[in-house]
Formats: sequence, C-alpha cells, structure tokens
Amino acid sequence: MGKKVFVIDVTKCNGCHNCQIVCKDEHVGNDWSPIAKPQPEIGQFWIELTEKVRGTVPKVKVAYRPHLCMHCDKAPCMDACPVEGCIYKRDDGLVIIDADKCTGCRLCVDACPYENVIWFNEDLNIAQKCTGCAHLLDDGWSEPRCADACPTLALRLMDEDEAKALIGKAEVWRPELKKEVEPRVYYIGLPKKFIAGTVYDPKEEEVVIGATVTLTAKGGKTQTATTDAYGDFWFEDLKDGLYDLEIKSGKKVKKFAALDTAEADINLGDIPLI
Amino acid sequence: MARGPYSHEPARLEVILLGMQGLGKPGVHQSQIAYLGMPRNILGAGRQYMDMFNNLATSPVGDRLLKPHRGTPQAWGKQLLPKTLIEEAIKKGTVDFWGTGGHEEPTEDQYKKYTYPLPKKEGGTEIHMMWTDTPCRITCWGFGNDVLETVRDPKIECVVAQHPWLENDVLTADIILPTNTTLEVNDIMLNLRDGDSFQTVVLMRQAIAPIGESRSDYEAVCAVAEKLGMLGEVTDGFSEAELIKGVFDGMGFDKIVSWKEFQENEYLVVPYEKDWQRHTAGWYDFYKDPVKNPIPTPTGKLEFWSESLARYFPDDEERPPIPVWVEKGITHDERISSPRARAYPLLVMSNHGRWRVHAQCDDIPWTKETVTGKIRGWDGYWYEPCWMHPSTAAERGIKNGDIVRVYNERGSVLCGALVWERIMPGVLSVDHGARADFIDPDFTLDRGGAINVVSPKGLTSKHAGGQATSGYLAEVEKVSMAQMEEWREKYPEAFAREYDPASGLRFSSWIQEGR
Repeated sequence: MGKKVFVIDVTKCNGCHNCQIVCKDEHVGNDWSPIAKPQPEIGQFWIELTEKVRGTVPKVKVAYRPHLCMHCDKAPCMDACPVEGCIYKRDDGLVIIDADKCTGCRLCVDACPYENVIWFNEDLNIAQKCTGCAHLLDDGWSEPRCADACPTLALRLMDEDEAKALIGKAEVWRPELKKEVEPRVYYIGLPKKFIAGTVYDPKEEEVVIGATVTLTAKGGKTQTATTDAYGDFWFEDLKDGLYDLEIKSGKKVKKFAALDTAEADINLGDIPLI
Repeated sequence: MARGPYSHEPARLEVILLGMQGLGKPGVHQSQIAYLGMPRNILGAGRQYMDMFNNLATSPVGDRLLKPHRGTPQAWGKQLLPKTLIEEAIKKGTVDFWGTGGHEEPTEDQYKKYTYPLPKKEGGTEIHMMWTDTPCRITCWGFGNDVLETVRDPKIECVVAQHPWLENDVLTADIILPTNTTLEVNDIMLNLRDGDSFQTVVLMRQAIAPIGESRSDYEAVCAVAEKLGMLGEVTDGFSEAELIKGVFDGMGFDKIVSWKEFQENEYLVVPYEKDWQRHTAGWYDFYKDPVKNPIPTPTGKLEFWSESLARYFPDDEERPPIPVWVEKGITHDERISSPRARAYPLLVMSNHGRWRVHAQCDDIPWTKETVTGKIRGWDGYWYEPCWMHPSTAAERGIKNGDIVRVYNERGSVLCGALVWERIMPGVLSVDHGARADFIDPDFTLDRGGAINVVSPKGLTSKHAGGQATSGYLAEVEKVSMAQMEEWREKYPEAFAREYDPASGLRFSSWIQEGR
C-alpha cells in the first residue's frame, strides 16, 4: 500500500472518546506480536482525546483533539534506538516499535519530542505506542480501530495522495518541530484564539443588541461583528497578536487597545456602553 | 433544573415561554423524543406506542410480563407508596400523598389523595419487609444517608435484594440473591421507549455462562416461589423461552417479520411509516385550529393559569396555578437566600453521569481514566470529580486534583476537585450514581462520591412526588493529609478494604468470612 497519513478535522470532533476507548479494546489483553504486545489495563493512551478549556465564564469553549504518535518520517525514536531494526518505518509510513526486539532501554521515550506518545510498560519492560493498528491493516482493514470508531469522520487514516488537498489546508501539532521530524498527522481546524464580550447599557439595565464591533489587527486588517440578542459578540480563529477593538451603538463608543491574544483567549466580560 | 426542589416550576415556565412564542407555529414545538423517537414507525406515532403494550396486556403472557413493567399502581393496586416517601412512611408509620408517583399514570391521578397504610380492614399494613431489585437508592435517590438509616429500623424485619453486584443498597440486605447481567441470559430487548431514533427489537443470546451461583432474575424469583409453593402463580406455567416468544407475538412483531426470521437475524428495526410525511409536525394542528385539535387540558388550550391546580390545590404556594419561582417553601429550604447558606453557601448541581447510567458502569477502567471520569487522589484512590470554578476553589485554598469534602447537615462525601472554567462560580457539580464506600459505620462520611447521600429527601414539593436531588446547598473544603490520617486511624477497616483503582471496590471488599 502507498503512504498513509492521519487527517484529523477537529471541527468535527465532539469529544466522544470512542477513539481512546476502542484503542484499548484492541490492545488491552491482546497480543499482536511482533507489532504490539498487550497494552496495560490502564495508564497508557496510545491515542488520547485531549480537552483544552479556553476562555473564562461565561465565554468558554472546549477544544477536543485526538493525540497520538505522529509517525514521523524523521522519527527521533528511530534514531535513538540502539537495537538494530527494532524501531522501523513501514512502507505505509507507520513507525513501529518491534515488541519482541525491544530491550527496554527507554532511549526512545526520552528522544520523542511530543508528550504522551511513547509509554513504558514496566511489567513487560518494553516501550509501547500507537501502531496505527498495522496488524489490522495487514489483515485487510483500511483504517485503524480509532478511525473506524469515529462517528463523525473527524479522524481518518488516508492515502497521502488522496489527502493532498486536505493536507494543504492542515497544520501539524507543534509546528516548530515540523522540519526536524516531519510528522504524518495533520490537523484541520485547530482553534486559534477568540476575543468575546457582552455589551450592556448600565442606565437601562439591558444588553445592547445590534451594536457594531470592529476588530483591527496589528497590520490594519479589520473585521466586524454585531452584538446578538444577548448582547454578545465573538471574534474567533484569531492569530496570536495585538488587536484594537471598538464598540459603537448610535453615538456611544467604547474602545480597547492592544488586546494581546498570545497568552490566552480573551473574555472582555460585561462591557458598559455609556 | 429537573429533579430539584420545586423543579416543576421552571418546567411549567418553559411551557409558558412556548405559549408566548406561539406553540405549534413553525419552529415552536415541544416533543418527547426520548420515548417516541423519529420518524413515525408503523407500530405507532404519538401515544399509539402504548397500544403495543395494551395489546401485550391482553395476550396470554401479558399479565405475567407486564406486572413488573407497568408500574405498581396498575400491577398490584390497593396499598401504594411512592419511592420518594419510603423513609418517611417507615419512620412515621403513616404518610399522606397525592398521586401514586407511578411512571405512566394519567395526570388526573396527581389530584387524588392517598394514605399509607390503608386501613386494616381494607387489607392495609405497615411495611415489615423489603424485597428490592437492583437497588441504588442511596446514590440515585434523595438523602441516601436516610435510606440507610431507615432500612435498619426495627420495623423492617428483613431485606432481600437481588442484584448482580455487591454494592450500594445491597450491602444493607439480609438475604442477597445474586442475579445475572444481560450478558448471562437469553432475553428479548425492546428499544421502543429508550431514545432510539429507529426503534428496535433485539434477541439477546446468552454470551457467557452465569458467573458463580448467580441466576437470572426470573430463575431467582421462581426458586423462592417454589419454596413458598407459589411457583405456578408466579410463572403462570410459562417457561423463559415461552415468555420471550410471547413478547414477540403479543406486541404484534409477527406482523413485521416471522419468528423464524427474527431468530436468524436476532434483531428487527421497526419500519417507519411509508407516508410519515402526512403527519403534521409537532403541535402544528393545534396552532392551525386549536378548537378542532385541543391540547389535553381542561380548557383544551395551553393554560398559563392551570385550571386543574386552581381547582385541586388553590392554596399550594409551592405549585400555584400560575408557575412562579419558589424561593422558600415548606418542603425545601435550599436557596442561597436561606439562613442555611451561611454555613452551606454553594449549590450542588447533580446530573446524570456521562460515563454511567445512574449507578451502572461506575467500575469501568477505561472510562474512569478519562479527564472527566475520576480524579486520582494523592492517596491512590480514584475520587468522583467535583467540578468547581477557579474562584470558588481559590476562596477555599483548593487546587485542581485535591481531595475535597462536600458536606451539609446530612453528611459528607469525598470527591476530587476538578477546577476549571466549565462551571460558574458558586456551584459544585457532582453527578449522581457513584458507588458508595462509607468510611464510618454510621454512614455519614462516604469516600465513593455518592453525592445523593447528602441531597434533600422526599418530594419535589408537597403535592408533587418526584425527587429533589439537584440544586441544593452544600459547602466544600480541602481534605488535608492530617485529616485523612485521622480517619485512617479511627476507621482502619474502611481503609483496609480491597480496592483496585481501575475498577474500585471488589466483592471481597465487603466479605468478612466465607468465600
């Protein structure tokens, strides 16, 4: 088979955890040597559904992201492994730690630059991680258990050729590592930052509906939003940087300067417009 | 807001909102999808699904099967008692209530006054014995501590429990009949009223042999019946296989597929009506012509002012004819304006657990180790999460992952703090159903996170028989190492129970002697 890539569209991920749990169903108590030995009952997450909480009450969003081995083309674990042929890359691009050959030296665990990818099994004295269910792919499956169980098609294992267009609009996790390790897992829709708030009239004790909110990025690019029936406005998917914000309703104006999204999403809270 | 003090009021107010928006006009509807599913299927739209059960009732096996299913009032009649009043009834010896609390009783039943017990000459008697089937009242119903206390009342001479697991209420039983899980029996399962969009019937083949001495519920009850010389009365002469087929025939599934084909496929998806589109959406007919298509109220209209409540309970300030927000009433004192809020200033919100179904599945390692599953305490125990806002936590010196004690006058429950922005300040969220693990022999301190142990008892309001287990006052504090050590020294047995973090308490955790 040709080279494969994982394409994960997080805009479709609803945090169901099917991927995390079926991976355990496949590997806990099952021996797929030499591709994989049994995963322990608990404690390892060859694929983990991570949850990131963004914002502050009541402007809160939860970002779900499946996290797994990136099956790098220049895998540092492969370089670090002292046992010949123990960690290898298959023709389909998947990186495998040979469960029979591993001597438990843990150099791969240290070498992997990503968190929570390579796990050490104390009982079996071997390093373990996602195998892309290579044993199933070799048996005729078109995708691993996690992708098979994903109800929204957020998580897929695709042919690299077919996925070219998707890869074009995707990004990798920890982009600063991209050049060095060349990961094979692509994410679509990773959320950037938001700036949000609620506008109200303190005299009337009512929210302001239909106010125009203008956001100006550092380079001068602007976008506008209108406060809704709750007086709320949201600007989403903002790059890290400095922004100026202006709220206008009739003759009333309120400005915010140099809002910095680099640290975190910004909830401006309840904003009185006088 | 459901299942809380006076929670019928917010529900009624929602209906009024629908009225203000114009119930029945496109986009303004209310539907009970959980039971009816979509789209219309050939066995029944609207309330016609009840016809299936009525058909079953008249079939040969119907009476035998429907008795346990259809709710006590119709099955057994005469002396009744809502589940939410069991403790009150036992302790006080007598209790009045309105409406049986039965699940599918007509609305009018709520206006009827009942008394427990019935007079002796009518066959009434106080409760002396309890026989409970898969109980979890201490963790899923109100004031679990009271449940445990009451079961030990000398009036209750014997408690029999049938359940697959040695947990929760079963620990207070005198006689335990170990029963099977669904995997250990042959059965027929109907997903007709359980939220499926497409309703299904499934033939369940026994997947594994029964573990140990466990038997199916039916076998267990029949074994007791036989000892009592009542076997014929209990079975009506039907075998398990005959009952399974009887359900199939009695509900008319043989009109959709043959029994032979059903046995081969082992499932059947109830087909939808071919011309389902002829049905108007929601309440549209009412909207177009409310006279011809009335709502089942006394006036046929959506009543802002309830004619029935005005007639039967005109002075009920907890559920008046027009719905209101009830800040204070005779049944509950759980608002933050209450004097009790000085000691217990936070509100406990308690929902259905995401990784459980009520008390089931609290012991599954792979769900327990998710972010929202359980919190790993510094002592190695996996605690039920208690969500709280960073400001609520900071005020109390609580950090994410700390072991905390959620408490009020009714007792204490230990939880793991899950501190984040996913909850507003001033609220604690602990879902019901965690498996109880009491530290003290008086059941006032639970380590398992069974929050209902400290929830209000009894009714939603004086005349409304539901439970009130969400939206009540409590406080939370960090459990220090010193405090935990103190408990360890005082109650060594509790801390010596066999415990597997991945799945929790074991069978052996509770066994003193014997295998």
